Amino acid sequence: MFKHLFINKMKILLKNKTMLFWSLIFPFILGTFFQLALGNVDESFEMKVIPIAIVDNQYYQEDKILKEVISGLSKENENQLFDTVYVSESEAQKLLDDEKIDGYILLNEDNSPQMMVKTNGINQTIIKSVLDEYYQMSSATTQMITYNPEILYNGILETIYEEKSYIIDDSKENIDFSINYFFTLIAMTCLYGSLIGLEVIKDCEANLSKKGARMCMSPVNKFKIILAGLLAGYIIQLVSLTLLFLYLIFVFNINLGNQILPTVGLAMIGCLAGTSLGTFVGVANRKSEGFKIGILISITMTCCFLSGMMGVINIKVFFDETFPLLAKINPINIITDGLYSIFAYDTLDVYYNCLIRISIFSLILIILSFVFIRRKKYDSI
Amino acid sequence: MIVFKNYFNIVKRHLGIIILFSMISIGISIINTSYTNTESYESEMPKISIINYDDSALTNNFINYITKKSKIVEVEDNEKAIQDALYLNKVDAILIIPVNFGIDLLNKNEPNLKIKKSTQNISEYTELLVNRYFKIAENYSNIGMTEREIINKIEKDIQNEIEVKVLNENQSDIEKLALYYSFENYAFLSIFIFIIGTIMCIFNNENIRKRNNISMLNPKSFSNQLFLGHMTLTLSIWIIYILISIILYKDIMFTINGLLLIINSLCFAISSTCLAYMIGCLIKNENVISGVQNVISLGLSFISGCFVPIELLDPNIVSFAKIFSSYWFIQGNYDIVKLSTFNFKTIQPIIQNFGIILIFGIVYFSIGKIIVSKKY
Amino acid sequence: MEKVIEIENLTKCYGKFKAIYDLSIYVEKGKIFGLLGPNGSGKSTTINCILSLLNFEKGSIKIFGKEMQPNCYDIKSKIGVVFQDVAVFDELTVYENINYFCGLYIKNKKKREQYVEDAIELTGLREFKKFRPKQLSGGLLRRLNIACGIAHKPELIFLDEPTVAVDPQSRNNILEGIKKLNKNGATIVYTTHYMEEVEQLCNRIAILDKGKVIAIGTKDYLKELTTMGEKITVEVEKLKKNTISELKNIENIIDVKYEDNILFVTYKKGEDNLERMISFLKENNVKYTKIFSELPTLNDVFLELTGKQLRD
Repeated sequence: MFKHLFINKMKILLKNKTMLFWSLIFPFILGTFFQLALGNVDESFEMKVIPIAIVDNQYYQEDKILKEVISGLSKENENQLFDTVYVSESEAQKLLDDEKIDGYILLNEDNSPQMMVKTNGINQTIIKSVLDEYYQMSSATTQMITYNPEILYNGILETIYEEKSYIIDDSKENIDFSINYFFTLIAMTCLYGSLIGLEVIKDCEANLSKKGARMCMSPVNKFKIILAGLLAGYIIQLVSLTLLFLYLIFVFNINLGNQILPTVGLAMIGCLAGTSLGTFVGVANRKSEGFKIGILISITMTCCFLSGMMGVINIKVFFDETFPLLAKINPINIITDGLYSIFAYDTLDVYYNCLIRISIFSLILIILSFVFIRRKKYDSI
Repeated sequence: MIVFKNYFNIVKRHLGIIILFSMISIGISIINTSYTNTESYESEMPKISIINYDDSALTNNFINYITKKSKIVEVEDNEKAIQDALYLNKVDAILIIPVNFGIDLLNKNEPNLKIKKSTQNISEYTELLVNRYFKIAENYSNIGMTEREIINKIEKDIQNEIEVKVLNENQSDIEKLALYYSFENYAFLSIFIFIIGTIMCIFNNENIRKRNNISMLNPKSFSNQLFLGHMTLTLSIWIIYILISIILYKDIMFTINGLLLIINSLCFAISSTCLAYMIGCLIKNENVISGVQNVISLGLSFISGCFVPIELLDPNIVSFAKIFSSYWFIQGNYDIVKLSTFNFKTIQPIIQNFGIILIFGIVYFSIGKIIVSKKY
Repeated sequence: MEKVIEIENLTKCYGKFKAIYDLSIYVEKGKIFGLLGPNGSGKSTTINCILSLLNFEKGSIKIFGKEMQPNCYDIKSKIGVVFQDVAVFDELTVYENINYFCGLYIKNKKKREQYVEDAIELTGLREFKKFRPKQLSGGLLRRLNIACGIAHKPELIFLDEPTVAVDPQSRNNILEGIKKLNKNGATIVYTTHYMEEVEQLCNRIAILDKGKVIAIGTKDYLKELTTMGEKITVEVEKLKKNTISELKNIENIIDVKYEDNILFVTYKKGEDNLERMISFLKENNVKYTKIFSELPTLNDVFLELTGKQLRD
């Protein structure tokens, strides 16, 4: 009997286009959007040539070394940093207004240089740091010579212009928040299992559909019918999640960490959370199916938003810090955090914490659904 | 105008879910704008955390210096906290100064401090400062200065800085406003496609359509009244959006920039109504509405710079995005907030942009009309 | 006779509204029992209560001599239900649908295949085995709905308005099928608001109105309830007023109506009414184009008991 119910439910679900769209197609589309939008993130931080202007006045002409430095950096080769034009102050101002340049440099009488910018962005910071370097290093050189004029002759002075690093990069590889998009995507796919749960439960309760009434009249225990249906749905959900994983890993080369077992475990419980959410929304009220689907999709997308799926991760940070309790029960957030913890930490305690929370989330919904399902007769159908 | 009137009877029936959807979208926009750092535009001070195991005068002085040059964020000294802070973009880089760093440096032991950073290279500026500071210190030490002397002299050096004058003030708030308006791209597309799709499905129900067709009602007038209904509804939502922006940013909204933003978003509201209308003409089954709604609104938002800043996108994607009004709308927003001088020359491209957005609307609308005429 | 269903004093309320009030009926084994009543009279509610799908306030319901409960799987396995609305899976074909629902009762695969074939045969769906429900016309869909409900050869079958909005061909097929099922030994509970169907099919009939049984018994017994014996209709032009009043004075006539050149005359029970009418018309030199007589229908019974038509 269980086999009969299970196999037929599988057949029925696999032909349900709406449901397949959400649990299978939509995550693929969204994942592709992420990849399109974010695939370029790393490269875009490469240095670009920055357009600047220098006010070509008498003070600039007097500062021979600065002139040399600037023209060196503006030379057209692979190390070119600036694209420099030498103009009058009014022209420079006009160029800045028209956003042809990111900033211009003005030297004054008292040797206090100024930089005019419109906004304060990365390029402006780079211009500033180059000029700071120049002024500070020349100040240092001067002070050294004053302290010990001999260095002018013994070559020590040369070393100050050599590049030297005092920093060892100790970063872990690939800790980049853009991976968060994909974690939320996986979590979203888990939660879209709710639509399957909804679809299954709809056909099992007499007050939700005529098919449900017919099922209730069969000599089969209702729990058996529901369980067989949910199991079929759950397996479909796991398969579509597996496909998503394969797609992300092998087509887009996204590194999702290498601890397979915990990832699979979390995904399985995540799907369970989705299925139980759908079951609960399905049995808890008698609104139309379209309404319930709308509700489930809005819940899922809102949870995704609060976990940082749309836009930058600051939303997640904000929400985690402002409403810690809500963040802790947001299923998408829990799964996202869990996946991240597998990826980032050496120990699994945070992972277990997430696993427990998502299990409790599912369990509560299962118990609540059970209360509704247990009822055998209805007040109206 | 019987169709137009009946339109609102149907809207009334679905008012609950329309309000729910609008509230969610507007709420999301507000949260999104209020708590997103407009990173690539805002004043750029790297967020740095320092974990110091050294207690020399030199390192303390260095920390003083770096504190002035960056936003210091406290991070707990354990692997997990460090990892989280980097991942969640709470810090750009974490500097770890080992024991005896200062003494080792002065004794020419070539010590190194450690940096942990996220893959975003904002921390390069910090590395520059660190290296410069210690290079000077090491050189001073090489020529025989004491620690005290070094500190004093470095203090002098690092005061040599170019003075930066930012000509546009109040930039961060107006940038936020641009972000708020750009988020309309997601909110409008999502709400409009949902509502218009749902209502068009009701009116295009085969039996109702047949009944309309045999009635005296001119089909052209029918579809025009329907479109008028859509416009009325969407523009009411648009007004709510504008009112909220005025409440949140009243200082800026009553400037020319604010006015241009409002016009820009009006053009976009009209154009997205047309887009939603076109989609509504294509949809036959109510079940596909949420699918189309989410794919289009999220998709266009990702590729046109609503969620991810346009500078980060692949140039090919950006050129693809140009065939949708979303791209022009969002570009328009950022162009408008950058405006500081207003004359014909500066405003002209903005007005051109309005035109482009509206032309997109006309194209969407005409396609919708063609679909309708082909269908029946 | 063995009673398959016994209902005593059933009362079911929706809030303050009494959908069923103090309803007591029984159904005998091997019979077709009809529940007749206008829309909203409580027929479907009664069935849902019998099936233990609905809670009810008062009363007891026994099926096969046992109190019906939602977990009485032994009873359920002997019941087949055809609900008013079509309840089949759009995703499955005609054959798969019947097989699926039959599979809930019959575990043996060979036996099930045979049963499914039988149900397809009975409902005449052979040509449509591979069709999806969406490809079927309204009448065929109804037939599929019935096939799904009865494929497991139940002893007791509930049919809730199976012929609503069905073309005449499908209706005949359905009614014939029901008769066949009954012949094979099934007890049938049939609800409808078409009195013709009830007259054609049912051995015993309960007439429901506003949740109450207003009459119950065999077809003939119910017809005895009316005072009316015969209805005679005459098509006649320009009948004089005094002829009509004369007619009214004839004994055995209850009512005379003349509208749009048609004369309706209602008689009490009695014989030779038609003959006497014809001779009366001759005597008065009335020329008529058509004359016919009808016996009272259940609709007339209903009309007399409630003062309204069945299909209002």
